[in-house]
Amino acid sequence: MNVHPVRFVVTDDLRRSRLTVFFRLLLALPHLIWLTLWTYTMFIVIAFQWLWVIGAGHMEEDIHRYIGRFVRYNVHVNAYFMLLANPWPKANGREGYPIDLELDPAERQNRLTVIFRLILAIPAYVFMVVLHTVLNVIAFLGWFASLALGRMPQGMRDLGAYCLRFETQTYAYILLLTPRYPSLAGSSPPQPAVEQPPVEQPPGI
Amino acid sequence: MTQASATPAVDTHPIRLVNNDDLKRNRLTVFFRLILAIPHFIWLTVWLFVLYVAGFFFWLIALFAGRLPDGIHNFVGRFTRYSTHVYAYSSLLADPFPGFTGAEASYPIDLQIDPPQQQNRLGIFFRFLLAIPAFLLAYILRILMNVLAFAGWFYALFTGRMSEGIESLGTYALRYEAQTFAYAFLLTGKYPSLGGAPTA
Repeated sequence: MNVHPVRFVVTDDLRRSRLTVFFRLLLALPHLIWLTLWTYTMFIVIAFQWLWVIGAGHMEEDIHRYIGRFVRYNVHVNAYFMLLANPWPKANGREGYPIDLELDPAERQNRLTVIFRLILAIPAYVFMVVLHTVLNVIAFLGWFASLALGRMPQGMRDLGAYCLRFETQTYAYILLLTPRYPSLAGSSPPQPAVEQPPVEQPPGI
Repeated sequence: MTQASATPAVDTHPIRLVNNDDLKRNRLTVFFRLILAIPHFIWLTVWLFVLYVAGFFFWLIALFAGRLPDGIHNFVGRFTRYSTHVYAYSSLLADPFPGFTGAEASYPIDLQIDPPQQQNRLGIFFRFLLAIPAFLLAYILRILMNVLAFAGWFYALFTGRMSEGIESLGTYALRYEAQTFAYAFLLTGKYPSLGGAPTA
């Protein structure tokens, strides 16, 4: 399978602290405020980048990394808020959260699809809205389950991560991080290379 | 061929969805799918009405016996399987026109149902209350399935086949719905499982 350039890495152990689960909405508030502020600045950045990518056909690596960090931060905050992970996330969008984002470097994009990106994204956006509703219901039920059990049921966590992953791929597509359309199929991270045992050379060669 | 039941958690559930669909679609029947499904919708409604009326008596019997008798279990099981076939057909998750009897192994998207097992009477007594969270999720997943079917209709018309991503998510939602129905109608005492979600 062709690996999607925007992937999730899930290392969450399903354990939840009942205390932080109970106050999750309150605890997530600073992050939600910071995310909102960051989102406002991104409108300006993306407007300029849209023009830039139409001209250059690709995004500069630095700005790609910066927008990537914003999208990753969005993943961390939503994962925390929706109980898909337990630790309080950092505010800088760096890698290292139990529900994390792997992003391939910037690649060339078709200018025509960049011009019409917002229109092309409409079907994905519709799916995203529905999957976000599923995610909200999962979070609502997961709140009770986590409080009762001290852990998040794996099925809920997996379905929630799936919804969040599709949402993230849609954002990445809209924000020009990738020309690849969001995928409803799984986006498993690339498998680590299997170490081959050393081949014994026949004697005398 | 795709397999919807992938994880052990789902494999061990007494209600399992088996997917033998080859993703190929006939454009003509896809175009008229909703019209073609009308006889099935009518038959499904009649069957469901009978089930709702009889459901109360089934509940009383199960409450006394601690399980559904084999005959009733088979009847409810057939209905659950039939509704799975019909929804798979109307949501474009499979291509052939389904039969009207809900017979096992008669459709590419099929339901395997284990024989009846003894259930906790308290669980039976409060079954509808206990099923509310599952119904809530099943309802949301049903909306998702409708959106998938809408998008899948265009996809199948253009390509002559169904997208694997739509199919795997759609069968996942359909399986959850079937397990919810099976739980509510006392086919099993096991709660519907969210396991087997497509990987993130």
